[in-house]
Amino acid sequence: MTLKVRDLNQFYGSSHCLKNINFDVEQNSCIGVLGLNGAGKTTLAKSLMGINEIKSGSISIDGSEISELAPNQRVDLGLGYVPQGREIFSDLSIDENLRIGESVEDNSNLVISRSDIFQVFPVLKQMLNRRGGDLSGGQQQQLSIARALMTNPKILILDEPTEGIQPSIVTDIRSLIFELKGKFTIILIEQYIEFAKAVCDDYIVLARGEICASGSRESLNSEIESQFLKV
Amino acid sequence: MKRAGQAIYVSGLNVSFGSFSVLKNLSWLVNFGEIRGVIGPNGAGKTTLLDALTGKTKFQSGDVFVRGSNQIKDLKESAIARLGMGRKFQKPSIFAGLNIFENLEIALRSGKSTLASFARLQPSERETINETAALIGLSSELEKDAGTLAHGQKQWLEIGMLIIAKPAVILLDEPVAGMNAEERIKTAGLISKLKGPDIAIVVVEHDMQFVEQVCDTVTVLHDGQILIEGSMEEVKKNSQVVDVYLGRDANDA
Repeated sequence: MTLKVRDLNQFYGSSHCLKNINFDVEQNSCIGVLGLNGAGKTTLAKSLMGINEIKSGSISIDGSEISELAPNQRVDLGLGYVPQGREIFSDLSIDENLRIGESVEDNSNLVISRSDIFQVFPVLKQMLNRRGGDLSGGQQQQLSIARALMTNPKILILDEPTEGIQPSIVTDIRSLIFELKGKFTIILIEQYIEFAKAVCDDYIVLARGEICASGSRESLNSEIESQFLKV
Repeated sequence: MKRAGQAIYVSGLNVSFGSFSVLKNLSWLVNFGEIRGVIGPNGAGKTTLLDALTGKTKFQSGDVFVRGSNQIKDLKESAIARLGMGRKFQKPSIFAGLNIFENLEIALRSGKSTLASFARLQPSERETINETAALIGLSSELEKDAGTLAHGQKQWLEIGMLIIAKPAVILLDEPVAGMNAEERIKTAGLISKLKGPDIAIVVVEHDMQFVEQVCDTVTVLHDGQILIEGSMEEVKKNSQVVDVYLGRDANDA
């Protein structure tokens, strides 16, 4: 699926937090959304998901406008979301959290099956009946990624998926994204620039709600990094 | 054995949730003057250890002493805090509707009686708030609502709220999670500045570069027990640590 964003504007009260955002994500490619804290990255993700209603502009998937749709309708269309801060269902077990992911309309032909996920995150299988709220922070993050994959997304939005995750599993997640690229369209919000550079084909850099740099991974140079990403 | 120079002394600590044992007969020592890193796989018991040290989670058996011989076993969270134990949680917990100055003011007065907390702010208290704001790099934004701060600034404000109460033991749970490179460097500088002979700092983190930069000694927890303790350099070379935590790809991760 190809995602196109045109002239997107977003406000929080009087604060203009996304300004005339334009970008495309080609089918099965991975785009990195980079920028300092407060630049508007998570706001962009929430706008794409329909959690924040946009003020103006267009968001389309394969030519169909989705900006008027509710979040659940967007999920049914194939948008998957791993929010920053996990947001798993604490009172439900791992199994139940995953089943909520699986409850989307079209979950035939799962690209990634439960057993695939359990290979990457074995702890989810070992603790299948444990309450989500009793998991550690990093385990909840793994569950959040797994739940989003169970919605059989065609476009997957990951908001800082490696936050709070132990180094070896960060490596596993990097491999997973590598494997998913080519099967899914991926929008990756990430603070760790090296991680983003390792997996993304293209990137956009946000600063104060505007896209201030964009291009292919190769064009992400040290000048952009020091000016906008303070690397 | 417990001595006055010991900030935290844990002996035979057991914590379980139902039938699931999280900390298993754990014994651990942190001295004043050091910054100690705690690393380990997700679910190893790192946050649970902090929960036990602060009274958030009750432990089934074992002893925990803070600042020498103060046994905290039967104490409430507030009583443990009054012993000088300060903690920053994984997610920033600040008062979003109040500005930076007000957040620091509340933290400064947190140990005072209800009546005293209504008294006018003394010039010396105002100075303490200003000094703390300078230390955390938020001097120029004192009037800004905490809820509108960027993620990194919220984390610094919470650290400021901690240190303004002058704790003897500071526990930091993932202080750089969600921060960009520049913010991580600033946070490392801030934490290093807090180091002193009368303070002990415990940092739980997954950012190995950060741990290496800030911590003197590292404790690796695995499956509720201590796997190894030592300098980051020693710990990184341990094959079990590589297997359960860092991964084979660790050098470029």
